[in-house]
Amino acid sequence: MATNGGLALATHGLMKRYGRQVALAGLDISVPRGTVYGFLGPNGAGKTTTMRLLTGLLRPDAGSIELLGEPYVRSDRRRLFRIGSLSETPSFYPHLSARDNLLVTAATGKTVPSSRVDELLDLVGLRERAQDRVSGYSMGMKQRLGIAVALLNDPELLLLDEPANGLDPAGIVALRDTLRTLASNGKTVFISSHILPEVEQLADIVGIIALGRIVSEGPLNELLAGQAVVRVRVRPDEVDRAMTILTALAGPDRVTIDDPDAAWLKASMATDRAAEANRALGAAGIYASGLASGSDLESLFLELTATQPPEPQTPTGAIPGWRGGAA
Amino acid sequence: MTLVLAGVRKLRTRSASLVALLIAVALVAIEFVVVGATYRSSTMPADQTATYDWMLTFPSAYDAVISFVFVFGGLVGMIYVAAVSGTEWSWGTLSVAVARGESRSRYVLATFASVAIILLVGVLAVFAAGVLAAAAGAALASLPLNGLTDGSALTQTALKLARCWVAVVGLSSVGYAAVMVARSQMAGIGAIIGFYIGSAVAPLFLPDAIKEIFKYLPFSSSGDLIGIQGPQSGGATMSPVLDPNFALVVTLAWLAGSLAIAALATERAEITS
Repeated sequence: MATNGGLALATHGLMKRYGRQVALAGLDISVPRGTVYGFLGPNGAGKTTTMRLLTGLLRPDAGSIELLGEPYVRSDRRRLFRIGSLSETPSFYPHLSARDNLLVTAATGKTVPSSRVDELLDLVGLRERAQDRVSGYSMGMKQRLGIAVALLNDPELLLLDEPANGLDPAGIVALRDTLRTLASNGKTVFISSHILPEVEQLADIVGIIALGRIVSEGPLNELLAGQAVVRVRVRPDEVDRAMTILTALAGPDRVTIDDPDAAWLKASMATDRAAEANRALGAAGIYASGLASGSDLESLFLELTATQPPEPQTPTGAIPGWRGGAA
Repeated sequence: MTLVLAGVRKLRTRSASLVALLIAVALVAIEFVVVGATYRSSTMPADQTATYDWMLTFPSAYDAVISFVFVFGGLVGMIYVAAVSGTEWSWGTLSVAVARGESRSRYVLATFASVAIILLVGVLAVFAAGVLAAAAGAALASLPLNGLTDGSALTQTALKLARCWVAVVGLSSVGYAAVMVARSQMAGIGAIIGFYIGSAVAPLFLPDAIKEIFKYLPFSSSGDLIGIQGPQSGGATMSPVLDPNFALVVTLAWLAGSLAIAALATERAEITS
């Protein structure tokens, strides 16, 4: 297989089954170096399985992985010295302090000097609580510690599974800043998540996975180019007239009721036409109480993940919109 | 070595370490204090008196203490090892090490090495508590303590104690392998208790030819390697079945085999937690 030095991570036809259940059905992703890649998918789409394959915890049934420009197999464990990872639920020794957890973790894989531990405790804001037992930590504090573990090796590639889980708003902002700084220093960040606004703010490139396959991948701005929307809120008794006016501007079948209770309408049209929409509504005597415009990753996500064929293992009686599965 | 020391750091403050130590100390100490408190040479049968004298009169009491350290320490040690190593799977800490590029086999062996160091501390502590309890029992039974400082006996005791530690480590390795294969703390502990009871009970119901096999099983061989001659009982002396040096070889074989199985199982495992 030809290697690609321009990619930090790539998979080709990656497949993984758990018994009869297909977790990955030929996954192809390409993550250029120095980018933040958002790996999005609904529950059970195969995100966590992908992360476990990338970190050598699982063996693929078929397909291949390239890490840092070279083919990777599970026996090539030293490649992971250059990679940092955070699992969906960070794992620690609850009876040890944050500092001791970092020290015992630093003894595994590529040995890390203890000075790095203090550096990271400062970075993730746990210095003051570094001697406290992790069993007394909140979920957000554990998440911060997990991020510190992921950064121990000063990795070239960071694999983060739901990194914003449990973080408070200040923690989310700090995480975002840290990841941006890492990316600007040439590191590659791969974030698996289903929290779309978070990914939308961070990612340069997005891959959307559904039922174990990538259904869309590309630069975020290109993917969202066709997803521009203008949202307008009107009085409930004006919804029908507003729809007619907006349809005249946006085109047939391009206007939907976004939130029936709050009377929000959504028109798929260029964001710079929001003022035009507002003017047309005003001319008809409809005064919008809310107006918003933007690209809509959520719509793109729902559209792409909803058009997939039903999952073969979905249990009967499952609540629509919820997919089960261990992946 | 860094990995082994990190393992010791993980274990030394763990409540399971303290609880296991306290249980073993209590089991051994209570034995000697109760024997001392119930010692009545004038009314007890001769066999019982011989056993009690063996337990409460130094230097033979050193042998008795080591025997009890092995019996109780071995069982508690196996369960302790299962408890602490099982959480490597259930807490997901093994997966963190693997994802950092750590060798699975190296991690498995280093983790067991750190457990063996903790077991050494445990064996020494239980032995010390046992000697104190034996002395207390002797005092309760009004027996003399003049053999306590017998120089040659102390040298032999040090050697036997070292062998006792090897025996406990050998037994514990079986528990460790059970947990690493089962990838579950509870399954491992269940397997150990089943194996312990099975080894003790099965020979009672099996034909002699098959019973022969049992002397090579871990509970039997690791006990024999300490080389302690028991008290006179029914006109005979309770002696090891296997030659102590041969039993040492058998126990080391069990140790090596168990660690190989643990490493192999972990190398092949798909880590999903």
